[in-house]
Amino acid sequence: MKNCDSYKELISQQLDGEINEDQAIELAEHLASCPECRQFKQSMVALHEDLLKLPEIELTESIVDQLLADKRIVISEKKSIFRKKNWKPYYGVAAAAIILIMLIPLLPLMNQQKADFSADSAENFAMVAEEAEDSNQRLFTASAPELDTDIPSGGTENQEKSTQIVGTVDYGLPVDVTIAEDSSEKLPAAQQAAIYTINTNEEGNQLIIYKENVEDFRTAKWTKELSLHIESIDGQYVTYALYNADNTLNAKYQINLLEKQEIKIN
Amino acid sequence: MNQEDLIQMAKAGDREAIINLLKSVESAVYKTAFYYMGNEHDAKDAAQDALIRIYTKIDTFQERAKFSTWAQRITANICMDKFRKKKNEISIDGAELTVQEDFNLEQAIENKLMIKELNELILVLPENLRATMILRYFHEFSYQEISEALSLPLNTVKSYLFRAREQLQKHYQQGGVHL
Repeated sequence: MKNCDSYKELISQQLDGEINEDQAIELAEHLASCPECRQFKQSMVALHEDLLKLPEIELTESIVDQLLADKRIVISEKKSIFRKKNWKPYYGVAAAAIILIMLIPLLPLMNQQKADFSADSAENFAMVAEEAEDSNQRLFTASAPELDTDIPSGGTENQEKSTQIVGTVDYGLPVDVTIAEDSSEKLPAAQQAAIYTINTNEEGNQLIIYKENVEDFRTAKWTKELSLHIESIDGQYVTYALYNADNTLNAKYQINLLEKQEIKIN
Repeated sequence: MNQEDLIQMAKAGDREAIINLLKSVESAVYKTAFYYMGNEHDAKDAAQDALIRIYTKIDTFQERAKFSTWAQRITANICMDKFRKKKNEISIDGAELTVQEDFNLEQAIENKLMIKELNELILVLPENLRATMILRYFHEFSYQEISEALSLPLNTVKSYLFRAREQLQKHYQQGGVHL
């Protein structure tokens, strides 16, 4: 031990009880002759004591119970988690942008959280693949029946072309929906149309609705084993389904964009 | 039933076992999330994600580590990710902390200021320093346990705790009087 910095570090270790006898003696000798380190120790001890006084953070309601009460969170008897190896054959292919189109049939493998197929670079896609691989996340299906032509898809030309090839229209997220809010009697017919954007959260396990780019509503979260399928967007109603890992239907929900609520449907 | 049995059963897919395991760590997970994220809302969100992650990853858990240490590792990683994403929109609300009721009024006010100040200072610590401080002070982890939970060498843990304290001490006013 030579300089004061080393002794200061020992002071910190002493507060944690992670100092041996020899070190303790050496430190005590130094402190006897160094007013600066004595002062430092004093303020460190004061800080340490105050940190120890911080109150216990109590959890008032069990988070696990909340998860269990939510039908979308499936804690199942037998787990079936999406495995890395399923990805491998497609992962390398994703490197070339042109091949993206060929991947359309594989859309069920695409991670919802970045399911905006408008993502125009293969690099982006590869990143999605890598992330998904990392977290073993169950990925999402994004194919859906025909969209109303007056609903902007939020996609790029690339997406439109792609979807034409396979003959379906995909709800790549985020998707914008325009609703004239005159369906309610309270609002004048001349009420201007509002643009709602539907996207998922970062983890891809919750839908978030933005109204004019301001967050308006969030659905409850679901476990990552479940796959999301946006079934339809019809006026103010967005219907989405969650599928189990074995592709059986888990639950179907309808969001009412205007009333900011969702209900479970059959 | 001991924890090893529970872990084995959870790995085999037993629902009750995984629920019991998750419940055994949820308070600790939430506590870390609270001090890491700085408010109740984000803490619950992070804790929920951490518990789901623990559930989905239980089959990768290696028994040579302690389950509680492993759970803290997952929690710390999730908090770090979330905090980074939220960096620009942190709100600090000291009022969300409940001061213990057995303080008299004067003490309560004094402590409330202290609690608020310390929490704010912890929140602005660099993420690794913050994580080590949380495990040290709110979970009483040893250097060895912190090293395992955060995958850091022992010497780094030592030095992080020192730097964290140094930084806190530099700005800590303790009710207006600089130390």
